[in-house]
Amino acid sequence: MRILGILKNRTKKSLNNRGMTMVETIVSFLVLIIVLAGLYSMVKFSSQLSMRAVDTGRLLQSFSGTLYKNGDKIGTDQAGGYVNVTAYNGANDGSSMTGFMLVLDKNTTDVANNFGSGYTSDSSGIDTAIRLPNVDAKGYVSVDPIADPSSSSYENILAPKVMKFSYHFSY
Amino acid sequence: MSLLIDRIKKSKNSLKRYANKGATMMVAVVIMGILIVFTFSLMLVAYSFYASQNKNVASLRCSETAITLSQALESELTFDNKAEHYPEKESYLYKYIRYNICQYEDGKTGYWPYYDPNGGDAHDEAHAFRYFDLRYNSAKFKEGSDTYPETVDGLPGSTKVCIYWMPKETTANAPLVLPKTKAEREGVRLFVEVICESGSQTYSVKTEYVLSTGTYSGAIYEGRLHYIKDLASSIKPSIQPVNTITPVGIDMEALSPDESAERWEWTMVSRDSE
Repeated sequence: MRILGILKNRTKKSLNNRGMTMVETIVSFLVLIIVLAGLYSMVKFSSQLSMRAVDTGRLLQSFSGTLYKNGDKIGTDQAGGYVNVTAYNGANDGSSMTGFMLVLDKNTTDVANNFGSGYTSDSSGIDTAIRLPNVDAKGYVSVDPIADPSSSSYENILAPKVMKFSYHFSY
Repeated sequence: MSLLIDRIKKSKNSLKRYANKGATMMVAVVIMGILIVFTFSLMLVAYSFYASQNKNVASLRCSETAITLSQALESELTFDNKAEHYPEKESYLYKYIRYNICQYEDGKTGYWPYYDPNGGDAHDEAHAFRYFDLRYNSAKFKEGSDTYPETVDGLPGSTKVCIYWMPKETTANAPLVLPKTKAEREGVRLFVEVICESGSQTYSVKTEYVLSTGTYSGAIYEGRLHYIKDLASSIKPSIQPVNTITPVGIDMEALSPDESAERWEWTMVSRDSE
C-alpha cells in the first residue's frame, strides 16, 4: 500500500512537472529568440559601425593625400581625385565686399570691462569689424561617392572638409 | 516511523529536483550574460573606432584652418617689414593694433588694457582679452557667379581669434607698466590666438609678436602725413567707428607729427599649437 502511495505521488508529480517544463520551455524559447534577435541586431550594427569607421579612415587618408600631394596647386577647375575645391577671394574691392572679417564676439568678450560704459556699435550695427581683404581661402571638400548623399554608393560617411587660408598682397 | 522516512525521502527528492532546476537556470543566465557582455563589448569597440575616425576628420579640419589663418594674420601684421610704409598699404588688423594698444589719456576710460596675470582686476582676462569671430561676406561670395555657394565650404563650426597685449617686463615678477613713450613701447608683446572648434574638437594656435619701434623719415614720412591729414575721412570709418576702435578717442587727423612718424614693426617670435 505504501509503495503504491509513493508511486501515485511520483506519477502525479512527474505529470505536473512535465506540464510546467513545457510552459517553461516555450517561454524560454521565446525569451531566447527575443534576446538573440536583439543581440544579432546589435552585432550587425557594430559591424556596420566598424565598416563605416574603416571607410572614414580610408577616405580621410585619401583626402589628406590629395591635399598634401597637390597642396595649393589644386584649383577650382583641377580638383584632384574626389576633392572639390572652391576659392574664396578676399580682395579689397570695396568697403562692404571684403571676403572675411573679424567681428567682435560679445559673448566671449566682456564688453563693459573691455571698452568701458560708453561702448556703442557703429552705424552699420557691426561691432568692431576688422576687415581682412588680403586673406583668401580655399575650401576643400571630399566628394567621394560613399560620402556624397546624392550618390547611390552613399554610406553615411562623414565627408572630410578643410579650409585653408592664404595671404595675398601685391606691392 | 515509516511515514517519517517517506516524508524525508520526498523532501530529499524535491530538494534534488529544485536544485537541478536552479543549476540549469544559472547556466542559462551565465551564457546569456556572456553573450550580452560580448555584444556590448563589440559595440563599444566599434563605436570607439568610429568616434576616433570622426575625431580625426574634425581634428584635421580644425588644425588646417587654425594654422593657415594664423599664418595669414601673421602676414597681415608683419607685411610692414617688406612694404612701402604708406598707411593705405597697412592692413586693417595692423591699423587696429596700431591705434588701440599703448593708448592712454588722463581722465578717459575704455582704452585697451594690457594683460598682466599679477596686475589685479583691471588687467585680468576679462578686461584685456578681446575675442573676434571669423565671419565671411556671403554677399561677396555669391556676387557675379552662381557657382559660389551660400556657405563657405570647409570652415569649422567656430573660428575665434583672441588678441591681447603685454608691455615688456622690466623686472622679474614686478607689475607691468603702461608704456607711454616710444622707448617704453619697444619690446611690447602681442598675442594672437586662433581657436577653431568643430564637433568636440578644439585646436588653437597662439602666436607671439614683439614690437620694435622706428622712425619714418623722408618721402615715406611725408607720404604718411599727407595720407593721414588729407584722406583721414576715408579711412576713419574702417578703423575707428565711433569710439569702438580707438576708445580713448584719438583722432588720426590730430596725430602729432611725432606719432605719425613712429614706425611700428611686428616680428613673430613664437608659434605654439595645442
